[in-house]
Amino acid sequence: MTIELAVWTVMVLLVIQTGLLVSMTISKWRLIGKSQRLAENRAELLPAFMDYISNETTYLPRLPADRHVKRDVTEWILEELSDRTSNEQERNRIKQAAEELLAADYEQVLNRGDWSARVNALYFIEDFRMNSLRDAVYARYQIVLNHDDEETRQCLRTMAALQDDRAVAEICARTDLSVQLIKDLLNRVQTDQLAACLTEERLEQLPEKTLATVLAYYGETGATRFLPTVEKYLTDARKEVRLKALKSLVHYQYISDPKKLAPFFNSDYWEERMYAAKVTGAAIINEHADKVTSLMEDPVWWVRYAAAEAVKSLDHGQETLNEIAAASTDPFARDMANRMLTMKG
Amino acid sequence: MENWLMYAAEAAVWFVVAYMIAVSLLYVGLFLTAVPKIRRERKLNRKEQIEELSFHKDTYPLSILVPAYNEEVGITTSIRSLLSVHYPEYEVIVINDGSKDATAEKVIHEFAMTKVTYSVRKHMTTEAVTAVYQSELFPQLFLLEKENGGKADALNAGINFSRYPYFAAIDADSVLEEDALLKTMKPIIDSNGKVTVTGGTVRIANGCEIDGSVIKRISLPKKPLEIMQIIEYFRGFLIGRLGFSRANMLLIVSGAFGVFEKSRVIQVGGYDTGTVGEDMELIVRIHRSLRDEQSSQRIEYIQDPVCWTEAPSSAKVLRAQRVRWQRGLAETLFKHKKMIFNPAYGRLGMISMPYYLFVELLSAVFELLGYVIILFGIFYFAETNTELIVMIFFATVLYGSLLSSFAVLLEEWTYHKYEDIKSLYVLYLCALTESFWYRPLTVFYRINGLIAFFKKSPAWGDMQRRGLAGKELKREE
Repeated sequence: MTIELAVWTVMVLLVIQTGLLVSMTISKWRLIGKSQRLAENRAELLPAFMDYISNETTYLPRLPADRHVKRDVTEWILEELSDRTSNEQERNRIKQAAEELLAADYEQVLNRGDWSARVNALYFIEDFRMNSLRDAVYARYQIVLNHDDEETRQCLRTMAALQDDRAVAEICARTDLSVQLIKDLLNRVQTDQLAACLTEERLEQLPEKTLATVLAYYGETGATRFLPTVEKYLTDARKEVRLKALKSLVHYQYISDPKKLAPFFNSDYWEERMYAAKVTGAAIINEHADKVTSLMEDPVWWVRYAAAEAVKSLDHGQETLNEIAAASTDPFARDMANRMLTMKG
Repeated sequence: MENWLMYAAEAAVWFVVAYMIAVSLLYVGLFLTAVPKIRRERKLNRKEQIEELSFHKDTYPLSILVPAYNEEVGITTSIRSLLSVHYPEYEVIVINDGSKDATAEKVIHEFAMTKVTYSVRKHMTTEAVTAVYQSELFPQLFLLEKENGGKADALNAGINFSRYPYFAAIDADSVLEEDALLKTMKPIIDSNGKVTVTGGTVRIANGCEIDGSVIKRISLPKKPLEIMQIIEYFRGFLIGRLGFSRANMLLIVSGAFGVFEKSRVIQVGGYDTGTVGEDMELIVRIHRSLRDEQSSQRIEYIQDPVCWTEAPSSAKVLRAQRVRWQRGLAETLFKHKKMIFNPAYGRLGMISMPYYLFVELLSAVFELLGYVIILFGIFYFAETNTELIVMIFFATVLYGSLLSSFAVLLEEWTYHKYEDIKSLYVLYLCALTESFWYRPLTVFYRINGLIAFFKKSPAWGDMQRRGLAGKELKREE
């Protein structure tokens, strides 16, 4: 009886697996065929799309009847053409083609497609800036806003890319967004829109993490209109906010009044001392040369490293480093000076 | 006397059969845990998913550590592969752990390295670093020359030297896919640092066509021994690790490729130089520290294949590798024995650690017992009790061959990396033969590993390399 059971178990499993093998062989065979057809379609239709994008014709090419093939081919070709051009007019034609050929399909996918199809659709809606789907994306976001997954994040990114004001409102309201995601969203929103939305009053009300990220982002844009705001937060009571304001100044490579930096050289927090050195180097503030040189004897490696980099950027930096390497009484400062003198990058 | 033997054999048979069925069911359970995620993300556009990270200023900069000991054959291929990965800001640090061959000379010559003065933080004490070189051609490439201290010691020296907040540890015989770092860092970035370690799926490169440092065509090797290792990797990575990762119980991030938060590794004391299983031991220690701190950080595994490594192509080298793995596992479990069945460590103590003890470590003993019973039975009870032999034979087939052939099907369902139908059949049919030759072979090697654990013989894991690049096949045995 037991033997029979064992034999039957193994045989049944083997039969099931053989069935799976046969089914996978068929699907692999189909996949290979589909890939070949897609490659042929792409090669065949690309020139016609190029004519349309470059405005040589006003007609879009005739596409394969199968909905999935049509979508795959169109996505691939439009992506390819997007990568190849930076011409604004051609980009608009790509957008038009996407709206005409893909919008209805994507709307259906956002409503009824499976998870990966929805996320893929969101990627392409963003890439092709399909404004007609702005509300459909927002509606999807409303359904998934409490999920912590790629679909929620991509809904927000797509909303921001489509310049939907509701994306900025979400940045301000949500406390659970990661720094990277906040940056992703800020990167997509146009600077004018951002300045209009993020007023001084609104900044005051932002959660600490969001405010810190916004300040760092301001520096990355290099937009001088935000510089006074960044400098204002150098005296904020919250350490993280001050650090991001300092980091922002490193990107600006500028500070309106170098005296504002002086307190940070003696900060109790090594991160602030490190950023003071970095700002000094980035903005080439020679009047802080002594302070930054003394930071090369700091107990924290990162501060010494930033100080050495800063000294190297200042006037006569090379000579100063040579002096430290030869004559400093602090072995750590000597090591760091030597490292800075010999290493590249 | 014969009756007594008969009873003992019967009891042993039932024990081994029950064990094998239980483990098979556990694998099925792990698979079922992993399947919703695999199914959901199966058709996700991976390129779009990571496109932005490749130029984003906030993608954390990363140090890639490559410990090398007698790796003159493959080291330049690996470095070239690392220098061509897509990632915004990273450095590559090759740590030559006192190699006796021309590893350092090859790197210095190939990449125009010049000696630089260095200042290194001593987060961990290591054997002396004797020189540091930087490449004239690629300023982000460094070579540390140090006295021999083992792989863990080399990695610790690399951590001490590294500049960035995250580091990737990669074996010198591995090749990374171009977007491997982006894929592996994505969970860390998306989770806002809640993920402290990520491991990626490692695949075997034997048989693949490699041009320079890039995998151009994925195909199967000719030797059955190499094909069986490919299947074994499917089984381990697709069924086991993803299931454990879903429950934050993953205890192994492959030594071939993993990304770590540097501050966390420094906090737990770096790699343990006293074990040959330094990769697993570190992960267990990190888990312990997360548990002790009640931290919400986690260790995650990504299912995408990101790293290709060279598998042993001869039984001799395979033996050396398996002895080292088994010994490393035993050392880690012994060192952290207090965690096993300790409710204070939650699922880790109650499920994960016992799994590694009873399934990954001791299965070699139980399987050996099964083979002994089959052989013993054939000679002594073939006529009187066929049932015993047949039962254990079928259990062995179920446990070995059927699970592995299932893993082959799973790979085809998810990634279907092998492009032709023939490869699918070759893999499937080879998997069905596993119980009859490959499994007994590896059981024997793993028993050797257990013996080595008790004997405590030294090893760096020296492996005869062929090199992954076609042009580096000169040193074939």
